Amino acid sequence: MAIMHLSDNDIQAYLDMIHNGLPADTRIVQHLENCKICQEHLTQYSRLYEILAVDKGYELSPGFVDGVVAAAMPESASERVNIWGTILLVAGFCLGLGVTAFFIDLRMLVLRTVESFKLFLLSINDILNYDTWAVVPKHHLDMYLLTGIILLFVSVGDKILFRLKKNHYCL
Amino acid sequence: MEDDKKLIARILCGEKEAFTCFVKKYQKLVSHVVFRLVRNETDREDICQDIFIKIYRNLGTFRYDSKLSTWIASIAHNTCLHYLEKKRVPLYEDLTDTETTLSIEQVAETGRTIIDAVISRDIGRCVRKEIDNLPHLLGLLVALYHLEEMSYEEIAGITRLPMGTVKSYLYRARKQLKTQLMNTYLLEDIWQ
Repeated sequence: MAIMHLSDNDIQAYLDMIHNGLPADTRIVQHLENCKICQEHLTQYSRLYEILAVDKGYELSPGFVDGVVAAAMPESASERVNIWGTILLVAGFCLGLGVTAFFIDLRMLVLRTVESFKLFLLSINDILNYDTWAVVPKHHLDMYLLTGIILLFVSVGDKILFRLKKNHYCL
Repeated sequence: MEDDKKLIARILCGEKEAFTCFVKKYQKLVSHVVFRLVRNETDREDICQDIFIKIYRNLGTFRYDSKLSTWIASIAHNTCLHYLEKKRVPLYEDLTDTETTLSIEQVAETGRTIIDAVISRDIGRCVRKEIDNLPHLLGLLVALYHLEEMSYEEIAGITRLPMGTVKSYLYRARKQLKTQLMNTYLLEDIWQ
């Protein structure tokens, strides 16, 4: 009757079990105790496992680490967080501007602002005087108030998001 | 894992020193993946650098669902695949042959290098030479299992291959390595 020796896969599976600290198949253990050929086979594979585990691998050039850090870090994490803040701020500004443009004739607004500025230059008293504001129709003042509230809301939201993002990164 | 968490938090706060530690800690893993898959020596370090930059940019998205080393190896593996695709280098085609066939010149060249290495008792170098003769993917699997001590499951996750396939490829790689080493040497130096 022909003796059935362990295959390469059996021996490797056995070594993997040992390598991972798992109990080996008793059938394989029993066979290895009695079979010289498979023992030799096992020794060769064991040696191969040892050699493979101590391979030092490939060496990267000495300046590699510094090169990587220099390439990756000019844009630091805190700057990245600031970018988010800036994006939100710009978005808030655009939103505010959009809402204003939707409700108000911007050209008129600019003209009135310039007018007000001229008046301001002429006399601070004119600015403090409520009559100057009377130039702007009453319902437009409501729009200014609405725009101001929206901008305030966006900027507060931006601050909260900025803080949350920063806390998330810098636990 | 806790150390990695702290290290990542420091990097995300912009600490250069922390990122330097990180690169030093994981450069071996990245180089194992890259050097096994990419044979073009001039491109290897650039690819390693690209991988670390990619890792740095995506570090904030790492959710600790897997080990950090597995995540890094996945990025390295994907970057290499992308590079090989761009260069039209087949990664899996060379797996169809069960044994690597070398030309007479290659055998002579390999043999000479290995004999030199054995004489100088640099066993690691000659084994590495043999691993270089394996198909790319098999070399990578050997590196991840034996050098990075990853499990079959982790390797399957990185390479996106079924676990059974990873196992059978590794069995094949080791068998091939053993045969090549036994054919090349009288083996006293290696096996004793």
